[in-house]
Amino acid sequence: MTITVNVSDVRTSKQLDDIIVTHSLGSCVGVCLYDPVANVAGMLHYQLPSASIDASKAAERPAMYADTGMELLMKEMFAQGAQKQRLKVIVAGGASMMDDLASSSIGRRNQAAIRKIIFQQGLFIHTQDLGGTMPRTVYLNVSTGEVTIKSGGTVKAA
Amino acid sequence: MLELSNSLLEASLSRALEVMAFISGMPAEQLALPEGPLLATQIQYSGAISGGIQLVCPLRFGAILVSNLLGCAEDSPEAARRACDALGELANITCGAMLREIVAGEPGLVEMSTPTQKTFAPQGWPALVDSGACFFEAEGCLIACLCSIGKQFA
Amino acid sequence: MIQNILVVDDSETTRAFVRRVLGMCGFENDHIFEAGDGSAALGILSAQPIDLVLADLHMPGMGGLEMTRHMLIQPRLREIPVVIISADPNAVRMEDLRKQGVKGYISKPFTPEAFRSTITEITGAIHA
Repeated sequence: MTITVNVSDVRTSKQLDDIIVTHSLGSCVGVCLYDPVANVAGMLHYQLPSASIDASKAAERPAMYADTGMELLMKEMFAQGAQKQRLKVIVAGGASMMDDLASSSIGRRNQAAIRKIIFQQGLFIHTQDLGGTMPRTVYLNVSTGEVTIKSGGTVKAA
Repeated sequence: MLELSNSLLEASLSRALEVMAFISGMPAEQLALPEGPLLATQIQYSGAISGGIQLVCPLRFGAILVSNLLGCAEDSPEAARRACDALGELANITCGAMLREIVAGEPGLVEMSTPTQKTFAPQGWPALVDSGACFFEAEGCLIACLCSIGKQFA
Repeated sequence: MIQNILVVDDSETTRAFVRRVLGMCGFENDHIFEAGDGSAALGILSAQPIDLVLADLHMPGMGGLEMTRHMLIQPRLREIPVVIISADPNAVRMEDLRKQGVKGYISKPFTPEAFRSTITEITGAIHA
């Protein structure tokens, strides 16, 4: 079954025939986490770097922000048996989609935010596909933990 | 040879901050005197080219760097204790990155000094703004970047 | 097996950052030693078994290259691998360093992932 992660959304799965997908990652960042022992997979699609931008909105929609979104994703993964030290981390997105500097900087700020959060969690990024100017679609195979990233006609496996 | 410029220095600073300290900033538009104590960090270089760079920023930015690198709170004693050192290392990394771009493929070596630091007096801020320095904003802090060829900073 | 690691850099923040990333790589904190320059590093090397040295190039006092030369002329120290971690801008220097016995080079700024990759490559190569 295909599970779609929308913008500002988190989805997890333990069903081996599931594929988790998120589309149109522009300046947003998609974070894939996979525990190969517990076979738990999860994906976050967030828009903005920090809940401090708007704490009340973050309370309503935690997945909109890198920090609260990651907290939610990890909590849901752990609830299904994932363990932090086993997590494979893949990140994609953070492109510069607009011509004006302020808008185009959102992608870079989103990149910096997730790299910092992952480091503060004591984890390394296994694979990253960040930056550029093209939107991305990311697929996470729950059975294998393989991630496929499609962008501008190219396909990358992670 | 790539041309030395304040904007190349600013780009090198931006890269250093993003790669190693997980900080993304952008060119600043508002250049008002920052609050709190300011620190000026300088590095001189000589050899194939000679000159120097200077970064001027609030000491608080050093504490932010320490917090990001080491995981301690920004207002912790550890962050305060290491703030100057972190800014010195930032200048070192930024200068190296900038010079690497300039001397790539060129004959001859460039040697960098170790960083020197001193308090930057607020009275000097208007002259800094008028000097042609680039101003970069990151984590709510303003950083002035200035480089020179042939001339070393006092 | 790499157990004891010596981190040599005049920046205490950088030493602490490297310590942190080494910890994330699985190295035990009690087995990571620090020195602020090459002389202090040689002092630790004379007193403590060390399996890997990570050193900056340019430090006040003795730098990383001079430290490496001292290590190479001492039978007890010459087999200890040295990896240079530096902001030095001269690409040609990296090749010179390898010819002088340095096993690897990490250019500042570096991501934690790039650091881990180089350390894994070096420590893997040592036991190959």
